[in-house]
Amino acid sequence: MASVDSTEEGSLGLFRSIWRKLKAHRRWARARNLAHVRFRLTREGVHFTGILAFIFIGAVIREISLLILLAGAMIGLLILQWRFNTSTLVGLTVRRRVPRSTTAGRETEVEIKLTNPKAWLSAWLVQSEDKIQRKEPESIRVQETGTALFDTVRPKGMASSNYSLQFHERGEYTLGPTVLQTRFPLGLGMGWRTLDNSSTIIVHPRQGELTQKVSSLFHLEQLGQAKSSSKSGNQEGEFFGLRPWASGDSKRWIHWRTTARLDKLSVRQFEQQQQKQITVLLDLFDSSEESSKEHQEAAISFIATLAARTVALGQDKIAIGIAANQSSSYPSILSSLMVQNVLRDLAVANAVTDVDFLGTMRGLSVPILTHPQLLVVSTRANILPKLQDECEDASVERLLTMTRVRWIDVSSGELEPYFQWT
Amino acid sequence: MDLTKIKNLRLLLTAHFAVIAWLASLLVASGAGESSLLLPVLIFFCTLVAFVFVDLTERFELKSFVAAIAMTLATVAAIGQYVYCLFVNESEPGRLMAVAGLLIYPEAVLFMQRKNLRIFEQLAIFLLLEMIVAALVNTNILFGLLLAPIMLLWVSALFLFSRYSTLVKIDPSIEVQHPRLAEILFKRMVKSVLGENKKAPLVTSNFNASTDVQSSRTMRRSLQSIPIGVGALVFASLFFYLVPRLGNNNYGGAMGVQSALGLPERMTFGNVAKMLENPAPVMRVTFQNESGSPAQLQTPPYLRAGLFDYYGRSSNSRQGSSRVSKGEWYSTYSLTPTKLGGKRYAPGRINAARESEQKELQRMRSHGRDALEVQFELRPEFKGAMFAVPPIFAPRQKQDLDLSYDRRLMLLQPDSMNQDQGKAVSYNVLSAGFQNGSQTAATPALQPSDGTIIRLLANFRDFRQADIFRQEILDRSKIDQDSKIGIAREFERYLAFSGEFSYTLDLRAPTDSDLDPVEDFMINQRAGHCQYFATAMACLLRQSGIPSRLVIGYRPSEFNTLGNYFTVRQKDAHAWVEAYFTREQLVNSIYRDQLTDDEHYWVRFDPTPPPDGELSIKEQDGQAIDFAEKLWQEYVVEGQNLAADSGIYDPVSDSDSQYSEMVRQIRDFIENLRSGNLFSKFGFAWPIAILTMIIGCIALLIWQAFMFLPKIAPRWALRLGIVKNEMDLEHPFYSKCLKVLTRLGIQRSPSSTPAEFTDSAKEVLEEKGQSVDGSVDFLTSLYYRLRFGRQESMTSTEQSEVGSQLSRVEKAVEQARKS
Repeated sequence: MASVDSTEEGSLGLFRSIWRKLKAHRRWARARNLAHVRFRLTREGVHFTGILAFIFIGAVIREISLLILLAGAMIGLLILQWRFNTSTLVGLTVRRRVPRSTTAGRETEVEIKLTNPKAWLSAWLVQSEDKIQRKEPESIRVQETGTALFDTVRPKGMASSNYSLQFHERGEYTLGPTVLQTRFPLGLGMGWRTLDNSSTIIVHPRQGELTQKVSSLFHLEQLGQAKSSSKSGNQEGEFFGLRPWASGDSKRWIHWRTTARLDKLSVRQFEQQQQKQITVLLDLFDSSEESSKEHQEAAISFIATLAARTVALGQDKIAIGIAANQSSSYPSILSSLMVQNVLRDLAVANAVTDVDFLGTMRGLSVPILTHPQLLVVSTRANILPKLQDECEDASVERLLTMTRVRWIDVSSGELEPYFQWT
Repeated sequence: MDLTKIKNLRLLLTAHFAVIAWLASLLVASGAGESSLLLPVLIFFCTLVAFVFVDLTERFELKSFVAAIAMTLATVAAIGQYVYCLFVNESEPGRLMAVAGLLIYPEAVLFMQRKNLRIFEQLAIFLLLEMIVAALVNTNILFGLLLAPIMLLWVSALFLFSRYSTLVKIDPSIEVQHPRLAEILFKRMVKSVLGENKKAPLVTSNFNASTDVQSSRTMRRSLQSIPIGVGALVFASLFFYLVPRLGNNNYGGAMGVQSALGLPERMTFGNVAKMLENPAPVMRVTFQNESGSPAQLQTPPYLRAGLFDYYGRSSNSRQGSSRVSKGEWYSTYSLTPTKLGGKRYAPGRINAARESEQKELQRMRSHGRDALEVQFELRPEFKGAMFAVPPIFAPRQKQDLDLSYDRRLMLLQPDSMNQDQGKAVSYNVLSAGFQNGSQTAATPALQPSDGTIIRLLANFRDFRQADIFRQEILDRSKIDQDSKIGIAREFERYLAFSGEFSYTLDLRAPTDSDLDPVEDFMINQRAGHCQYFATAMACLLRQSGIPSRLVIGYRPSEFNTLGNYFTVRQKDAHAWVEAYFTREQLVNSIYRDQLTDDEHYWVRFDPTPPPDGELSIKEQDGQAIDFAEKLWQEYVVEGQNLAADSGIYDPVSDSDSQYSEMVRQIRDFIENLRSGNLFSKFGFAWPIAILTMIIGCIALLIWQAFMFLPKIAPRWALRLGIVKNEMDLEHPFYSKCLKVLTRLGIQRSPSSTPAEFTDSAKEVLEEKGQSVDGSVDFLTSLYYRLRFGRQESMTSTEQSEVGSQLSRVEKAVEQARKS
């Protein structure tokens, strides 16, 4: 039996290795195929070729020399078109400079640098086309393209061009692969080559404006710690670090040396002796209502705005939990880098029906235990009683019991007084 | 993008197309046989107006609708012209001009429209087609001269076009779009079925065009155009050179060429005079020694083309069934030619006729005759006769055109008379009619029959005034009255050199209307052209008992020293006389050196005084252009020097080379194609082929019917499963719902909306005591959301809900069926 098994395993292994090799070969062939310069006739070229065929057949049937001469010239032009198209694109490399992240609604510039390594042949009228598709949240919408056009790239030279993008929705987008194409010189044909150079860009949620009321919302949250909220403008406290300038910062806080070095306004941040603790949980539930998507976006945008503004001001401590398709918790957000991480998670967050609310809350247990207040921004009505009933985990149940939860149901318009978002 | 720069790009492109249109129309007009300047002038005017008012100042333009009407009118006008020329005028050049008009009139309309990519595309197509017409009708060197600049212009225009099309493809908003009928129909019919994607884009992209990209620098474009244009021309030349020719003289010929030149079939004094005033070129004639070097002739050669032996004496003279008018020469001969060189000979094969010809030539050589190869290149416009310089023999190398030669009449004619219209003819003959660089006057001949002799002495017996004139000449001269050759030479001298007669083309009315024109010429007028002199000479000879006949042909004097050939023009047409003599009569004359061992001779007499006192060979004016034209015709248009067996193919056409093999295969293929035997070697059967074609056509028709069925009978198409409701395919749950409801006989008609269908389905179910309001409404509203709304896919809740709602509907339907 053992020998039979080993034979079976042997043959299976052989098949597996053959299959793996076949797959590897297929991948390699596909990659090579994509990298090849392809050529096709343009619409004008098809017309041209049709007339050429007409001339050639006429020349052969009627035996008219001048038509043969004319056909020869036209064939010559087609061949030159093909040779130029293919030769131009061979070896060209593209480097794309794209920011790692941007914000929905903001114009983002993408710079394309085209390098021509050839020693004698310039590249003329080369079009670089980047396919743009949203990866997360997954979208089946038609791809958009970003196009840059290069007039001339000299031999051994480089040229740059750019295009601008305006993302209308948050998410993780893929730019590329780049398709280099040219119709130079005669427009009768088009050569193209696909470069395997995809890159991603995170599009953060669109940020809105927090109203004055939002501070009252947190003020209420901080009842019992009223003393801690008193802060005099001139009492900066101990130096804590540097951060980018934000609206409302005193001019005296500007750290001029760093500002000069970074060419960006930087201010000193001081250790606040008594900071507010803001703990927020985003509950992204998919309610399958028509307006659900809009509510989700509003909730996400609110959290993003709150996180960015709080850290920019550097006055309060903030902890954020995101309960969505992928839950994540940030118990203490102190720097802009951490804000970026939060914004990244918010960018790709997708509403689901089975939100892990309690798990996310458990991730925020440290700030909650310190300051047992929690602001829940949700796309559904309050489900805490139900959760408390269904909860089987004693520690979570205790957490729920001790926490004072403020539930904002976005779908009921409860967020509107605190947040303006378009 | 900077729209000013884009406009400049458009202007530049329009200017390019305008110039190409001028040149192409010029080529068409200059080659169409009729010197019509209408089309070039029309297109010049239209393009100029369009450039200034439509493109530059944008003050005027033809809107799409008006342009469509104008285009239709232009097409109708051109087709009308074609039909007129086909049935009424019967003019081939006219028909070709109509075809050219069919292209040029729409071009004018296109130029008058606001330019966009489509207009440029259409213009390019029309201009290319116009180039084809130009190539068909224009065989003169103008085409060759303009080909290079036109090619460069095309390349430059395509450069601009590629830039413009690239920019338009990236940003279509830079030009004004003209909606086309096809697009409107597509939107109406196809998009209404497919539905438009109304979803907002996730991202919008803006193209930032640099100024370099939007404009085309002239200097750079020129520098790029020239090598590409020249490269294309070089390729064209190579291609032209390497395309196998299937035989000599197969290529060439312009369409629409009318035979406007030639020698008259009947010789009257009037039509010869007209001919002599026409400077149009007729042919080129080259004389070469046996070594291939050009022969240096001392005097202009006589190129013999036709014979006349009967002279019409009264206005009602009859010769056989033909009526011959007064003063008209008529030919009563009928040719009995034999193939020159025998049957088509192949190198290395024994050919009795050719062998005999070669012996004869050798005999001529032994009597001091030079054997010169004479090449005649007749222009396409020339119609009619073949030329000879007798005595003639088959050329050294075989040629495509088979010739027959009547040794009695010393006339040449092609074996097959179906000379293509508009096609030039080229042929070679070997001539032994030269001695020491001069054409001999005496030509050995076969003995004429008695009947011929009688005929060649007739016609002038009763010309009394002429007879008196003849006697006066003879009396004045001191020649031996018994020497017939002396008499003949005296007549020739008297008419040509006595000074009493002069050459003129200014013909006057007869002084004495009772006299025959030739008598009037001899007695009263004493001035005229060659036909008068030749007729007078023939009259005097026949009255003196010397058999004679009138010969017509050409006597060129313009010699092209670059190409070593004579350029023959229509005005070089000439008439002279041949008189019959025996060897005995000539042996003591100045012709004795020209005699061979033959017994009978025809001696040429030319009694016409030279127009300028002396006729000598002179260098052709503008010979370089004529030589270029000759090369263009030989190497390009006619292609007779590009035959596969021509010497210029030696580098590539060794007998074992691949090129030769390819030529052989192509030749076989074309021959088989033409003879219909292409597939015979594969056991091809026409009945099966026809059956296959019929079955194929029927299958195609059925397929097309199936394709059209959804449009003409959508219900049937659905029933047959040719189409499926696209919406159902996209959303299977809704499709399933519809399927379930069909069990109750509820079917959604193609014209009803899902909501309407839902209402009707609910009513039916309610009638049967089942209520599925919520379920059907849920499914329909979900379908609406997915199909037309922003929602892209079902949520997991919806997915689970869909299943339960569907099962509810299914249960309700089952219960309704049971009840």
